Amino acid sequence: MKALLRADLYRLFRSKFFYILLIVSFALALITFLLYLAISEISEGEDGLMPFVMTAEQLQMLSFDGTIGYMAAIAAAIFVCGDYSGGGMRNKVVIGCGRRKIFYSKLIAVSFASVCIYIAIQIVVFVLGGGAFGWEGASAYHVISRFIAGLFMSLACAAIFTSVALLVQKLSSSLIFGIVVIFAVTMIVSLLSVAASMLDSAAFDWIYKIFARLTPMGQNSLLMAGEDDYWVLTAISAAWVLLAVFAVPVWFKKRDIK
Amino acid sequence: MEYVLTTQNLTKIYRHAAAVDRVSMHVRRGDIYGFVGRNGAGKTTVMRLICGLAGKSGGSYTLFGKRDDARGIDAARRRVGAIIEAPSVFPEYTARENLQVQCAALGAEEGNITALLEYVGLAETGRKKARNFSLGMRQRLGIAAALVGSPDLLILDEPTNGLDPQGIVEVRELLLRLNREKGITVLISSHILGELSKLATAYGFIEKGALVKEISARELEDACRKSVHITVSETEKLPYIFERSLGLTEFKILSAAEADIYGDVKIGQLALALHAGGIELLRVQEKDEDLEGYFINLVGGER
Repeated sequence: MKALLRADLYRLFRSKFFYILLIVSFALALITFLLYLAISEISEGEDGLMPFVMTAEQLQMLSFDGTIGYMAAIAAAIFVCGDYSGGGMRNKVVIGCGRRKIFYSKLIAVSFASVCIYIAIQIVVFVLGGGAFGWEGASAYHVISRFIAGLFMSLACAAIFTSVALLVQKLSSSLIFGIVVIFAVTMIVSLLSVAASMLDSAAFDWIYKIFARLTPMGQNSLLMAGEDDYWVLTAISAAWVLLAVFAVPVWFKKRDIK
Repeated sequence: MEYVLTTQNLTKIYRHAAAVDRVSMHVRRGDIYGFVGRNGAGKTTVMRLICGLAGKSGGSYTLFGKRDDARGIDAARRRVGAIIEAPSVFPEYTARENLQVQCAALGAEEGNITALLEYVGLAETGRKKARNFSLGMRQRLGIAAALVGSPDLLILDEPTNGLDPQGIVEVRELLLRLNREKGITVLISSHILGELSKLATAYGFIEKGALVKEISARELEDACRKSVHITVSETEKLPYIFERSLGLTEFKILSAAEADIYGDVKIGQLALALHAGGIELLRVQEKDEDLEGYFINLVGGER
């Protein structure tokens, strides 16, 4: 397992896609920050405009815009399916590395990549956002809990998309599946949210909250909206990781390797 | 006799059709086992089953004395190196980096990489990425990667496919050296039979998923020797006539009516000698087969 992980991390650190994803995530977070900074500056300077007060905590909430889900899906597809197409996966099975260990090693490597991407985004929030907007009125408990919920959400995304890539085996299929799933979940969550508020229906609100909580992609919208049941979200994300850890090796064992 | 690999009625069924049908093969230590069959005959599927890449539908196999369902099978697999379908090569890495990844996955020492690269003739590739390698170089890199764990058994699926004549010779020479110098047993599949005949010490012929025959190179050589197959009224007096009248020493009586005579035989003299001995010559058939001919005869020749 240690040897496998060493090999996977060696590949991860040598992969230009890992650095591209890091830079893109950081750049997207930076653009969001600069946009709000500009709005804030403009609203301050112009008479007659409503003052726009932005805090670093609000920027933190806005950082849950779904980027991490897409990045995890892309990272898992490239990293895991790249191993299939290069023949590395075949090689590992042939030399008796054990499929369970192969999966765990991939899961750890992709989780590491996802956490790095999440941290790249949060650096903008904490360092630049904190410096420019300040933490006025923010509760340390909420900020830290939200950060941890986001961290587990990233791990859940990594677990889901590593599992998908491992079982699908093909880069294009894995990428398309991941992106379509994220898009579909985001769409459904948005529709349910709109339906709940427009129709003022408790039933829709209930369905929306259940659905959004259950999926890491849906959790984004809750954290963005300021939902504060962080530990429920963290527990659900942890459950996704555990589900992958226990269920995927059983399934993977039965799959023929391309 | 020590076998490194045996299969017992190994079967793989895809959607109700048997891709591998109760195959029982035996690979002895030190052999270069040529696995011969047409495209789609089931060679690759058998290799994929043995390598653990595909799940079997029935039967079993034993690798270095460990059954496929035994606990120690992963340890037995550590003694195997393989190239199935295509060599495991990361195109964006150099030859050395590819072997470094393989060493890391195996937990093997990186100290052997230089020697391995020299052994397969890739020591001079430097910073050249594998994507810029020729097919032959990639194949040799794949073999080097398979050798990282110092395997005792090398499983190679069509390793000369797509190679130019120079590449074919290089791979062949490399495999012969590995077998002779390091004592590595090789299971190699190919449909380039002429090439295989320069390597193999044993053969397994597969057709429509079933192993039709296993034969040693020596037995195959005997079977392919130039000979005349005769059908006669009786064979009892044949040895006497062959030796005394025709001076033949190499022949084989096959049944009460059939015999094989090896070497050059003058049919006219043979007919006269048999007639004089009171034996009726019913049929004469010349045999001069190579591996290809033997294979076609064995599997029936039809597509």
